[in-house]
Amino acid sequence: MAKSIGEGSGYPNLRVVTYPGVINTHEFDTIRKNVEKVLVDQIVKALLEPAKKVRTASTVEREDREILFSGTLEAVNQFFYENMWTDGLPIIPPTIKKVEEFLKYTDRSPDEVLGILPPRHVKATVWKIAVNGVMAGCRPEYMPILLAVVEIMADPNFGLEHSGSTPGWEAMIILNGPIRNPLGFNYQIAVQRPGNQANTSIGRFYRLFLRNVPGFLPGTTDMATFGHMFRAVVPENDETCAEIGWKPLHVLRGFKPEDNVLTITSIRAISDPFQTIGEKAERHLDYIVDWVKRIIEPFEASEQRTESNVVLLSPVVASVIAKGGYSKEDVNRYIMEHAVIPAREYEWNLAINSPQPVTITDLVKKGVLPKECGKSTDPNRMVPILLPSSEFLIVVTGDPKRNRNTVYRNNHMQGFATSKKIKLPANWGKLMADIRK
Amino acid sequence: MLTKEPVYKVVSPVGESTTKVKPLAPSLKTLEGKTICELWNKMFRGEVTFPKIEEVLSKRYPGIKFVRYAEFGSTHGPDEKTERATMEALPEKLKQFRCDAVISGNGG
Repeated sequence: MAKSIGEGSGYPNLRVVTYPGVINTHEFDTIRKNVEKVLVDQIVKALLEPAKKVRTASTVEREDREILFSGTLEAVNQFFYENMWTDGLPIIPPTIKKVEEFLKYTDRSPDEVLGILPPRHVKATVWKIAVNGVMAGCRPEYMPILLAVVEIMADPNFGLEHSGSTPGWEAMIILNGPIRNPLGFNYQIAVQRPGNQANTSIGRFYRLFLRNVPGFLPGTTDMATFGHMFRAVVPENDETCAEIGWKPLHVLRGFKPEDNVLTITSIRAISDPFQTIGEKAERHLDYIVDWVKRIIEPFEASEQRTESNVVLLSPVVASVIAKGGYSKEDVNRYIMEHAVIPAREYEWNLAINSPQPVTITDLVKKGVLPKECGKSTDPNRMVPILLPSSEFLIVVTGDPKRNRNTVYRNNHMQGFATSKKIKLPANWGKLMADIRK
Repeated sequence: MLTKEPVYKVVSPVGESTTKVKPLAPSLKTLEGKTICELWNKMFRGEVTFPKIEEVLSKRYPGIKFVRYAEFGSTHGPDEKTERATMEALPEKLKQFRCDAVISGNGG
């Protein structure tokens, strides 16, 4: 990965040395022995010997409309697969005609650059977004959403450059706003299943674009241990939110109710789709907190990493909680306040993750944990598993008649929750009217 | 009569790179008396590898000096803003410490 990223940054002959083995499975004495016997010699060689000469391969820069390949559906798919431009599924051949159909749904120039995306530092243009949208099986009218996806990718706060990290996180794309129904999104039963074109193809587009434009490819720039499948878009049930007096996610994040907004956050772990029962809000909330504590360990907080986690609540559960007097902000606060575990469990988690003992006292001294946590040595005293700066994005979606919830853990600064308004072209109304005809 | 399969003329999905190949700094003739700066991303046991590297190199090369990773801040996180600030400050800090070479780690 170091060599691939070096190449993408303009240093194809970057001096890289390799530790023998998987360092995190070695005890300290083994690491020290390997450093002495193997690593240092490599370091000395790297620093003292001339760097390898760079043979500048002639890269063919193609014009956007240049025909790259001509063939049957099968031949095109085989060609794209051999070049690692697909996700293993068949693609829709990106002909100029098909790409131009997508461009009708934006008034931005095809040459407009939304960002220079790492690790290959490549221009993310409106044209390339349309090409990959065609390939993913999107409909042309999804183009404004595809543009918002890439705007988020290009936002430095999102942390796109970390897309190839070990946990193998995948994006969750959350949609709010009135655009949901005209484009035919599913936001109810089986909201995250493949089957609905809008939800599924836009989720697919995210991963396909990530491969082809920034250049995240397994084994070189994508070092996910296991990885996740691309995820169908999750639209919120804005109507239920209105009925129960809850702000939809985008309004909580500073947008107007009538705005169409995408929010993307990384997801690395998923809970059971657990049921919560009864008419008391606290009964539901307490079990949600229980699942939060099951899938979120304190290690990341101990490393001072802020998380933007997600809770999906089915509409009926959200209604019960709202009737109990809780807003979404209250739910977030409730979870944050109650996501505490005994000190002995906290320190056990740190011991498992870090070979050197890190205690709660150490973390209090560093300012990671509040002073109260250091006031006693009682192993049963309760300690928060998340930094105060962390949050839970509460999203109402899924089967309105099922009392189920799911907690999703985000990968902190890597894919940090970022929202963008979906910008519609001036003639959007006419375009949608023409589709309906 | 056999139906002919349609033929598709397709364009490239791949983005245009903006990267130009840049030369690496020339190699050193010796490590004796040189200043080596350490950069760490707080991962993959750097707290063990860096001190050992220092120990072994110090025995082999008289006068070698090390500027520890704590001087520069973590090259990864804990959040985007802090990471960007650390990286932006790096060139000036490396000049300030008169670094002859940098050992940056650890990937895994």
